[in-house]
Amino acid sequence: MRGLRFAGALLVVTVAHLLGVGFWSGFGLVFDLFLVLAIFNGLDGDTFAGLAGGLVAGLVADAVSGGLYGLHGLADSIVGYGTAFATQRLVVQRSPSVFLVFTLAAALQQLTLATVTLLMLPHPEFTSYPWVVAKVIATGLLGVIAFLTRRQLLARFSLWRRTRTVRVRLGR
Amino acid sequence: MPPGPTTRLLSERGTRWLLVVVLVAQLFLIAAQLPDPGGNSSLLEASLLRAIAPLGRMVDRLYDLVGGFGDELHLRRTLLEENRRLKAEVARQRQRAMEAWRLEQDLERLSRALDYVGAELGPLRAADVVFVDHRPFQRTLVLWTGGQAAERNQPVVAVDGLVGRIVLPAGAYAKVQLITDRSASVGAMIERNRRQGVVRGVGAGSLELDFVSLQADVRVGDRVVTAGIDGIYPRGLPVGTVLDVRPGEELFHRIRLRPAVDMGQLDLVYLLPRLAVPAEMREGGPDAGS
Repeated sequence: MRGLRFAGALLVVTVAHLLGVGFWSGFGLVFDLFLVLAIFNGLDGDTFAGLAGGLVAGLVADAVSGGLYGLHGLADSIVGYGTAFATQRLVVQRSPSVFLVFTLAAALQQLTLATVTLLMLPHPEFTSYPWVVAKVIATGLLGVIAFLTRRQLLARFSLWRRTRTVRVRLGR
Repeated sequence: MPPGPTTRLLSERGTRWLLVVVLVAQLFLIAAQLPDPGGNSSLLEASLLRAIAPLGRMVDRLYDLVGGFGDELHLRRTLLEENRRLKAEVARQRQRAMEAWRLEQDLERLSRALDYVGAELGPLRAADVVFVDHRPFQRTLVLWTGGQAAERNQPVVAVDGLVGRIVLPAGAYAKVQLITDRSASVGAMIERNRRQGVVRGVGAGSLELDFVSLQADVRVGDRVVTAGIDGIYPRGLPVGTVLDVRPGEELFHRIRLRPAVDMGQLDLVYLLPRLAVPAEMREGGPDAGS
């Protein structure tokens, strides 16, 4: 069930990314929706799910872009696992802490990408500093929005479950 | 916080080992692509591209639909004016076509007299751009090529000039390496004096023309076209225009080019038939275009 939910979210994220890239080809410079999904998936503290989600989301991100295949797969695997590992030890409930987790995770991803690029590419080329900052902040904001939206939806669903009336039929 | 209790498939220790295995495997995957970052591709990447590209096409169509509606409203207002302008353009083009036909006849006559047989460009095939990505070191676009699959190394052009080459055909989709990509290079020449060199992408959407000696006369504004010497691109396709010429290292100019094609505005491109050079002829030949 969880896998299906993740697959559905990944589909939505992929469509949103393609829409974004179609609207503005530099969309990927500021927004990494696959990273947001990988972090969000790791927030429940399950390291295996965090790792698997990060890996899949990263590989899909690599497939919809060019360049070295597996670069985002590697970075998002670390981020997914790292987020789950961190949230086992921290309480992440309020918006500022959610923002902090998402921005730190985005910074970790950028650091991983830069390190792998520097170590493995013969002519490394890096995203300029302002774009990195923009991406880290954008990831934090998107994370908070996703987190609050989910909490709102869960609260409404819970209210509906508590207050729903069931019509009982006693036969004809 | 996200979901409630979940059933763990692996223990913490097992997951840690899995993380190590996954990271090492991906490092190998990345390392395997390094000799030719634009060329080699994994089966996994091709499969994922096949699975995801239809989504891209769907989104592209959605844009066309929405954009088309707006365009239609706008076009209706200017239709008559456009029609008048096009009629005048058609008249001019007819005149040019007649001149071209006369020149073609002359050329054919002269070629026959000299027994000259040139390479034919062949028919063009249109392909829709499904999506473009302009992230650093990731300058690629994905095409929808329809029923007939594209071939690896097939040249891709737009109305204004050369775009790149196919690096990953995957069914009805194909990934294109743009000439502005750092790992791309093209055998080219300055149109005015036929001086040959190698154009390579230098990132940030610009190009450089290398190996043009300091004695060569190069001017700002010179047009650079493909030289047809790399076994991939046919001769005469516009590549770019000289923006800046400076004395470079050793005995060569340092020439910066503006690409002939604005890669950020592509929505339709054309595939040229691949001019395959026999393998035995390629050995020891120039390693351009990769």
